[in-house]
Amino acid sequence: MKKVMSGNEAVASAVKLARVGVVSVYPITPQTTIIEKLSEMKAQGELSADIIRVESEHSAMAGAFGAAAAGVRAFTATASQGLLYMHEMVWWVAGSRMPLVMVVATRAVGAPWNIWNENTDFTQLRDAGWIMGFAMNPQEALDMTLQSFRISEDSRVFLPMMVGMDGFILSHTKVPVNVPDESTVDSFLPLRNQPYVIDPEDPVGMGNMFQPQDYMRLRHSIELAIKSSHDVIREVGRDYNSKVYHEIDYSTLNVPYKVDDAEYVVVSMGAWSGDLMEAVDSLREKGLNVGMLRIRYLRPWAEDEIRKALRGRKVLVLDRATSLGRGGPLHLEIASTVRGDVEALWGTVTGIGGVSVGKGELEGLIMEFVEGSKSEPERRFWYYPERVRRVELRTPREVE
Amino acid sequence: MLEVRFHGRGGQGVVTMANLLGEAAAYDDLYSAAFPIYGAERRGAEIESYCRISPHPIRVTSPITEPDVVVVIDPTLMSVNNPTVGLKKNGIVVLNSPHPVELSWRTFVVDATTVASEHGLIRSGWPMVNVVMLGALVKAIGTVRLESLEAAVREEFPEKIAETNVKAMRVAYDRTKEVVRVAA
Amino acid sequence: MAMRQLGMALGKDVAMVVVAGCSSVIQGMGPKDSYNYPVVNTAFASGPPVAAGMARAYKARNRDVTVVVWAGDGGTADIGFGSMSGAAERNEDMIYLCVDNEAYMNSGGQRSGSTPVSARTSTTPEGKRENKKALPFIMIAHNVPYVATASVGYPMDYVDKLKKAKEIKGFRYLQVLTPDPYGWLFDPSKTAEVAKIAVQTCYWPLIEFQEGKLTVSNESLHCLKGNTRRPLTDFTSIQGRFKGITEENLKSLQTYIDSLWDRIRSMM
Repeated sequence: MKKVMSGNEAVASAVKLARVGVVSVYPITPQTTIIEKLSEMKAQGELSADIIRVESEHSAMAGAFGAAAAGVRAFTATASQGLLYMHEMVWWVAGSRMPLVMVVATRAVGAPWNIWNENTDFTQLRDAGWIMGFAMNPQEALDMTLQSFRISEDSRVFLPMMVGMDGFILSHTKVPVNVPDESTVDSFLPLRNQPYVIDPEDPVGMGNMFQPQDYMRLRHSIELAIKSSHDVIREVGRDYNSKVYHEIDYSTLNVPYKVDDAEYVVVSMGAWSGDLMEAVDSLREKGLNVGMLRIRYLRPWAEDEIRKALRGRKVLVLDRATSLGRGGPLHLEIASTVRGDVEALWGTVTGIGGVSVGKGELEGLIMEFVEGSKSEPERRFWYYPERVRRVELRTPREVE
Repeated sequence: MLEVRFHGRGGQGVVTMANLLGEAAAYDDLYSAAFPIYGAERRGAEIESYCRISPHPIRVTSPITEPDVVVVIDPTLMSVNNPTVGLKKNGIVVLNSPHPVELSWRTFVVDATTVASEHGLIRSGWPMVNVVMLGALVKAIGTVRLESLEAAVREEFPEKIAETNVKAMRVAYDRTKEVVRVAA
Repeated sequence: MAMRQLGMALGKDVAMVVVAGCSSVIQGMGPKDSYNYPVVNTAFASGPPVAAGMARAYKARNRDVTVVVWAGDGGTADIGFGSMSGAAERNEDMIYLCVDNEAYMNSGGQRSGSTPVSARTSTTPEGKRENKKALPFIMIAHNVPYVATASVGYPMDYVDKLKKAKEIKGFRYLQVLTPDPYGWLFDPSKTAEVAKIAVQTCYWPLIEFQEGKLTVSNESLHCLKGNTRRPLTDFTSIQGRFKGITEENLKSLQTYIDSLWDRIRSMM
């Protein structure tokens, strides 16, 4: 059944349907309406999960970790400063090989304060040992949250998974969303599965001091688990398509759009891929052979899919995130994947801190790439939409 | 695709308006995307929200800069800023105003503040005109049915508040008039 | 020592959360543990919320398990203080055991909020300038179901309090003074004796707070009157960390102890 709801409400619905045992959360904009919705469901007796309203994000992840370790499905959500504040526990959970799920409603990171959308809070965690999916619309946010429990709990993976979605742009936009019924979800999502349960019946110890050689092997096991998650994600996606919802294809990690005959391919992630598809269609009407590759999984990184989609093309990578001093993280990842295989590779950082980049601006950017890449096949730069160009801002260097 | 932009002040329920229109569209088997612009959510601050409606899935996510319809629920906004900025040439303005206002677009006017007061739609001393103005919008655009909007309102609010709003919305629908332009 | 007694006192159906501290080293290396209890080791500030998550998961699974947080004084008074306060305020179902050896002993004996005034540590070689943080009072102010202090010098009292704590639901706080011969600088064979003298000199009050009432344990009753206390120098002179303590500093430590007892009397 389709219901009009925001990305955050869609995530809350998924948490309810996944029969989560414990939700451990601390509010932060723009994630807050997820936990408000869950609290409302709880108050109305619709949600079976226990909710711990902890006193910080560090504790939010810790509470989810404890609950998961003690044998139930656990969920948390956060963004921006909150994600940074819980950073230590994010790593701890992955190192403990503990399946659980977190949703990140992305937001810029301070200073200065900024509540608007940017993906840097999400992308900066790509070394932490998590499975990292990123939704394009509220429907995907719901679907991927449901899938993440199964991916995370698959014995070939046994790692936590986070699902990112653009703050406000997805978290607060209401669109029709297909919400599956309980029995459908139950047929897709089996009972909780995890590598070990902390329980007096089987007194295991977890996370104590490891000798260097043991530690190194354990870290490598995470690398291998992420590697084997490729197949798991595709398998889970196909099963989701056949049992739950088929209008979005989940059989691949990433999503190509009009790539087959394209001379130019734009790489993107998240909500603005929708605007980009409009730009691609409009440029194609004008005779430009352009396509798009949407990154849906930052970890695992599907090198095979990406090489196949980009080989021999001229590639423009859009980053709504920064790896300051090195441009955008997607560009870095793409560059290391397709080295020598592409005709041109540009990486541009834009849409930072809530700056909107619409269809028109994307078309302009693509045209700049089409013209400029003739003489300059490699380039890394920040693209300023008109509003940004008009700003006069003194940076600390200029104040001197 | 129809793009509607709502203008009001924080606390007047502008965000709810966009959401309700989106939900009403769903009853008429249309796709919709409703979202607010965030940042100035202080009570009394100027605030915008958006709703796109289309027979096809909506992929665009950016704020609406060239709307087909502008809805202004706070009459004082017309004089302090320019809610019609970017409005398409053949666009429509729907205004809460006690008297006709002549603009360069097709303009529909209703005295929503009076309608809200007549129905006792007052919250913390402010007349709540948001749902009332949706009646005027539907009269102006006809894209979604009044019944669908009523269903969305009943879904959103507790029964008593919903019924009062539905009544007021119908009254506003009836009282909404297109301003016939005198000047060329 | 505090660990062995814990096992004796709590019996079955216990799960432990150990926050980074000396005990995460004591457990031994590698995949096998020396405890009989299941153990989750976790980062410093996360012990109480991890325990809260576990307790709620056991409840959801209909398992009757007592969750115990084992933390040092650094993890309690300093880096983990916020999350402990949060868990206490929410009255999460756990026993929080603070093993107080009055410094960061795991990393080599740096000052903590629980180090007493004038004690030398590796980061206060001239002696700490500030008083020990009065954690038991802070926990009493949270109005949790149970707060108690113990000393490894009086194992029966410690075990009794653990047993009592196990029978209560909600947030239970127990702080046990555990002299550390390497940090406090005394002969390891005298650990129990030092732990006893800490109580006899009234430096470390043994108290209990339950159902809004504060009581002084038998071992500390003599402290209620100033003139029946063993001299403080009996405690300071047997430890190297107080070596060379000035008359003035000794006086300020005594003033701190007197103020503790004034407070206890006023709360009884």
